Amino acid sequence: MPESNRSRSSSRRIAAAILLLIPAGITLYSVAQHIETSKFNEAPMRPVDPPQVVAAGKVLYEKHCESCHSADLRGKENVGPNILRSQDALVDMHGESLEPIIRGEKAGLTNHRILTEKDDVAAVAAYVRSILSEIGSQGRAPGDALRSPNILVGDAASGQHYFEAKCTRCHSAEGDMKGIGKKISSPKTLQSAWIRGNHFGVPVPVITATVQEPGKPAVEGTAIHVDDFLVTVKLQDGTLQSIRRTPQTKVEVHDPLEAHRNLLPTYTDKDIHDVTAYLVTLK
Amino acid sequence: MKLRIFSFTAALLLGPLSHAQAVSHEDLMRPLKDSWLTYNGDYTSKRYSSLTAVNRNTVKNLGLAWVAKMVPGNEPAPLTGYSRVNAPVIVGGEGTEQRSARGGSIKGTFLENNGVLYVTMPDNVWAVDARSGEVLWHYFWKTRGGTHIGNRGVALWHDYVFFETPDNYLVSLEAKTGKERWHRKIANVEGGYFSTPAPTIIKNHVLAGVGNDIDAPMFLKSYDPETGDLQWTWYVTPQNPGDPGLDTWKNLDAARHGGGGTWVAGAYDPETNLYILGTGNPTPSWQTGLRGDGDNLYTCSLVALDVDTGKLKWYYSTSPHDTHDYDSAQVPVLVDGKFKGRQRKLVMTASRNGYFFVLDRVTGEHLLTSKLSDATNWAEGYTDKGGPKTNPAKDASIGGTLISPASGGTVNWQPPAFSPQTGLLYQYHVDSYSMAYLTDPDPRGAMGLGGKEEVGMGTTGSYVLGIDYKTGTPRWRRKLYGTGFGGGGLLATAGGLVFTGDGSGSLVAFDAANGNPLWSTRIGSVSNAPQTFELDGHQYVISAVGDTVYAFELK
Repeated sequence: MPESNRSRSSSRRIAAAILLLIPAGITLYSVAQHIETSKFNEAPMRPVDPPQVVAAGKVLYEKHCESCHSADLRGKENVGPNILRSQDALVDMHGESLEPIIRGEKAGLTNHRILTEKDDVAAVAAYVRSILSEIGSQGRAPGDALRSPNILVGDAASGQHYFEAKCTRCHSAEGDMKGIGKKISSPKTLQSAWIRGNHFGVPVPVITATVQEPGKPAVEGTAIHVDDFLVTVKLQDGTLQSIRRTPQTKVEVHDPLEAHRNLLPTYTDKDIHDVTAYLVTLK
Repeated sequence: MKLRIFSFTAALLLGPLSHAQAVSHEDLMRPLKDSWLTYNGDYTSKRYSSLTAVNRNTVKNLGLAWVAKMVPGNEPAPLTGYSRVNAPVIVGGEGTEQRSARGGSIKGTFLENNGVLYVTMPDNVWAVDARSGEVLWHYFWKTRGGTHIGNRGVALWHDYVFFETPDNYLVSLEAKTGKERWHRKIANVEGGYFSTPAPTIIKNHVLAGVGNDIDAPMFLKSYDPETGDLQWTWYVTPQNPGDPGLDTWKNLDAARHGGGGTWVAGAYDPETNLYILGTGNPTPSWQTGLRGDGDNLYTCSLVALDVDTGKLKWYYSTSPHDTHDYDSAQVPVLVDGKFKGRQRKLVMTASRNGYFFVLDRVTGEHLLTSKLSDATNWAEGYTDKGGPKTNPAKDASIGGTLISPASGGTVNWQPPAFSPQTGLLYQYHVDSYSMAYLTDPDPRGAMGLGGKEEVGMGTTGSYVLGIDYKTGTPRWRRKLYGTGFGGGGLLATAGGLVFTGDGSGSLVAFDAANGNPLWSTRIGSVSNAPQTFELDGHQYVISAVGDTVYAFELK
């Protein structure tokens, strides 16, 4: 359940968290790139063909194949199928699967006699494999990583209205948000940053815990570990202290970003787009 | 000389285990008790053990019995303080390169039979002495590649072990020695297929499923456990003109490339002879230009197959027309119980998409759908069949769409547990959020999982739920201290306990009735579902953290 009450100090910490984003030029690795899958998600291994063969294959593909299978090999509906998701193409290593298809020898494809010259057929197969090597293990279209559609689809005036109504208790356009659109030049990064209250590549604000055992002075420090049985905090002097929890132990955790996370269920996508459109104008 | 001493010791250790006890069909039909013979414990998939020595009162006395670290690869494992013999390493596989001797973690279920545990990581199987943690043999598969994301474990039948490899082979070993009997290619690794499931063995059928993220046809195959001969193949999506479900796709080409992975083991109902499993997401996953606006059957569904023929008997679409990679490949649980005053044979599942379902498992009749959390926002209302109705406004968009759960789901592959004592289904539930950006606006759509970028926005809560199947609402909701799933799945016992990782470095036991924490041990991030078995009158509780197995017993 979202908690609606925010303490003033946590609001200040959120503001501080936003400020932490500000160092310009920082490489927000995770945002700058497409999210990659696990390193264990390996694309199928294919032999690398000589570049001149691939280049020759490209010319032949454009001349003989593109009209049906399109320039990016993703096919045309009811004309030519998507080669990049064809099992015949995916399993091909040295032309053994693709070449009979290109030559029109596969059953049902006898009208497909596009090329017959041995080297030409091999070159087109090599070109197809070279494009397949770009799709990774999860079917990314060639060039997908390079495309970056403009995510600014919101209305800045509505965003300003929203900001002034909902955000100014903790933030201000002339204060902590001043110049935010310049300091975070990528709108997508900026959008992530304000939704989360901080972002990848930026130090996460410190989570603290206060532990109160009966009859003992309260212990406060950076929360290292909290569970139902044990609490470990790092004290101001840098030492660690662990405390066994009993039903009488009171543990309060102060996570500066919790309040921001609790806003997640309240946003509409339009709110998000509008606020981002507004924040990018704060130059 | 030293070597001889070791082999003499090995002979002594192996001696008493040479009477490997064959696993019969009758053994596999029994409810989970002293042994653990199939992925989900027994065919009902309840992961409910009737052992009671470890219970609400005694669990506080649970202490370490042994620890064993599994060392993958084909080099002999170093002898450690708790290992006294170099176990034989049997090497198989069709790969020619040394590309698979890599770290991994244990995300599978151990099988236990007659004092031997079978433990896996991708490309590796170990037989482990359940009393001591000593490795008895280690089988290593030289891979040709493929996604090495996890392995869910082996299957046992007669004196044989069966498992799947990331490069899509079904391999059968001798249980006693680890020697290979045969292997069969399930699918082409070059075609993007990879295999993680634990096979399920029912009568004389070895059921092997697959995964693939490049729009390939997905299927479940049945093999003869004796000969390795293929018996039948069930395709998840229509492959030929006239196949049922074709009208839910844009065209036959779309259906043939429609995905629907079979990467998690299901449950078996002997009375109807139905194998019931959940299927994965349709592909392309995030865009529907190629696959149309229909329900895209039988992806993201519970399906019931006749185990002898592989024919579909009924289905229920738990995520009709999925657009968020919300596989429905969660373990379905079979329960006999009262529903609306009437005794029924039920099947239930808490799905990755945040919804919980109860069906009549004989007919497939839909009985209940519930939304487990208010955070879940991708659907609006229900279809006329009672499934969650995809809200197109929550599809990935160029400006970004805030979705909950993130595509990883409120839960993922982690198996749930069900206790007949409490009538509750135990499952994780994470209220996660992400921004889903459409990066490829081509109207034809992308392939596989491509064409989008997903950026995590955090979670507002991570829980273990005790779901009352009669109402579809959680009777208790225990907050976990991490931001992800507690661990690799759950275990319920007749001792009134639920065991799980807590997502923040401990294996814990909750009171099954109310979720109160009763016991905890700080062994690290639990990576598989805790299990229990009984040997020599001792009840063991076992679980894995990364590459290490921990066994506990009452002290």
